[in-house]
Amino acid sequence: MELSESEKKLLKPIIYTGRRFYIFLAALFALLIWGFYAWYTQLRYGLVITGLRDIGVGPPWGLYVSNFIFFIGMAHGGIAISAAVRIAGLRTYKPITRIAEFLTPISLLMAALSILFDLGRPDRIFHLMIYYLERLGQSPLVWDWTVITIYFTLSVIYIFLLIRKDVAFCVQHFPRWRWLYKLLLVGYIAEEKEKVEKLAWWMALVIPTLLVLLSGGVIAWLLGLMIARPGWYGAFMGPYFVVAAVASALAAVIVVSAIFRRVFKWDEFIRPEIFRGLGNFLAALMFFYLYFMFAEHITMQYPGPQPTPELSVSQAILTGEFAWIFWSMTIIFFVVPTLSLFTQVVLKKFSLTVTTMSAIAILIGLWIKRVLIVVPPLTRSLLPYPIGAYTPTWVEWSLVIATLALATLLYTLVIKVIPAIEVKQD
Amino acid sequence: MVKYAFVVDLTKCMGCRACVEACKIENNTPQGVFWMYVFRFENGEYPNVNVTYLPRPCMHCDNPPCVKVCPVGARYKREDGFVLTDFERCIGCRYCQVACPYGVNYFNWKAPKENQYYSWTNEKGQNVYGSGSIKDYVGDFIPPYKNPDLQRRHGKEKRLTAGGGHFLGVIEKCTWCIHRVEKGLKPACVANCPVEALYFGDISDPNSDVSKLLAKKRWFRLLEDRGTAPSVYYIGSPPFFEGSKELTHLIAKR
Repeated sequence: MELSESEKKLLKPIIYTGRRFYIFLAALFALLIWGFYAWYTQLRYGLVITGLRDIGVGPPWGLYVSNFIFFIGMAHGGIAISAAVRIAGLRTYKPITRIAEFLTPISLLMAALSILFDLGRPDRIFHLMIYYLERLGQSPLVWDWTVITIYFTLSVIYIFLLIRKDVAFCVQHFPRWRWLYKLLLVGYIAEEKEKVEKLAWWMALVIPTLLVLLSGGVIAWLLGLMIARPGWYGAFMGPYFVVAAVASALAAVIVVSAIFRRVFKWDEFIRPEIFRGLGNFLAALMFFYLYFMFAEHITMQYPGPQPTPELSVSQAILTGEFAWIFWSMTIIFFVVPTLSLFTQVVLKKFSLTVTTMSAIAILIGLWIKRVLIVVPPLTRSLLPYPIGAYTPTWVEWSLVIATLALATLLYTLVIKVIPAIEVKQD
Repeated sequence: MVKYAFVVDLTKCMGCRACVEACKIENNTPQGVFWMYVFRFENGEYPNVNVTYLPRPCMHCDNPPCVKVCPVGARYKREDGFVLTDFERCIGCRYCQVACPYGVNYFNWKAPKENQYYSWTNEKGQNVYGSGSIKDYVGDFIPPYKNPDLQRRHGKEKRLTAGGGHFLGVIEKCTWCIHRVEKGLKPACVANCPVEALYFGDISDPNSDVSKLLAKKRWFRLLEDRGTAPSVYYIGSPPFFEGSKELTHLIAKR
């Protein structure tokens, strides 16, 4: 059985391995080795080599926790888009569903890794399981990893079920990966397709619930329930986080799809309409987010000018030591890209470059925003301690970059063996 | 049943920080860590200046936010009022530190090998306090930092909770000197206060020092609006935080 022209194009990442692929892989491995070295240094000397410090000196949580929240947010992208496509029958977006789905488990793994970096005693990580039932009733951190585990399991099963018909197709054409495909095809029968579709539909129904439970729930409550922290405590964290999560997820899907479209010349499969739709939705979410940011700060500012703890946090962000980050983030990474996306809607024009650049900017901006959510309230206390200072060290930056590199590497390896776009579309 | 409470008489406190020193020696805490911390406030302009002090041990709250958030149950509340950390169970996530309104938690960012007051050698390995070994100075007397009680398990839970500087990467905080209290002694800071500004005792016993004092005098508790129900009571007027100058910072940059 010969592959058709369009199938050959679709399976390009599997069929064709160029020199550039190896260079790319080598670069990722180099970053990973650097990350390993950084982690080794941290394990050897302790977290003293990070910029984190006790309350009154610095923030106890910093880049690692911010990175954790960022990856959790990005994880929603994929599977939520796929679920929406399935439930609402948005056939236009069908080609990018799998590209999006892969983002979910990979991002969740990176989130878990970020927390591992943050622990002072990663060797005792299994205490989380040993004392699980004892702490499930009270600790938001336990809720977090419960929901993350459920989400990860569900997304892996969901993807596993949906790739099998393509794997069955691949096993006939690519003997090189036969062992892997055989493993994925355990118990496969061609008639399972119908059942899988039904199962996937039900799973897709559950996924949006989990999205709200994870980003609008436990991740937000990790911070929002802390009565000790001005700037965190309150019911607002839930909606605030869920909008940021979906926005970063959409931005990530746009960026990844655009890269694939460019690299593998998939112009005919990933149509511009897809990017236009996602971009419009992203712009709408970002308007919401900017409004949320305003609402947050006016709530903290209004009781002034008498100094309240909330006001001191807001001032630190708007006019204090975080101001330069906050304002450059808001203008360069939020307002400008959102307005560019919005202008495209108003003028009924579309440029893939503008949409992609905007998505990249928003993705970076939302990463910075997570740092600005986590750090400032930890530098200001309710008791008159000195103001904490934070400068992330090379170890923290290296480990953050390493998580990004590892995510990219995993993604690259996955699409090298499994078709990133459904070959057998009905 | 015994329920301990800690009372600080702010009208007596003169800010000598003998409690801070006593705590560090007794508990062998790492450098830059102050389980007992004293705030110093200065209000007004010369010549009408008012200086007040506020000692801050752990509040051993009855509704402790740190205990709630701990994902492994390393931080726990005992029936007699103590809030303690199990150093062998802590995974070092620092959630308790984030959740505490009083900022009493200290993390062992680096291996706590050299503790501030018993670091007999400098970085080059030279003895900075003269020649000879510790034995030359203290003889057969067990120095406080080798106090075997700090390695002992306490309470009916039998958990490693006393003293500081045990492991890298775990949280430690004021224990109200659990190893002394279980022997019937007062916490080191209370025992060492030269003006008897600190009191420690059983608040459920109406004839104890603390109960009598609290019945007689006006008292307040720190950040009571946060609902933590702290077990540390302050006698005197609440300090004037805002606009006052905290002149010295005891927390060293580590």
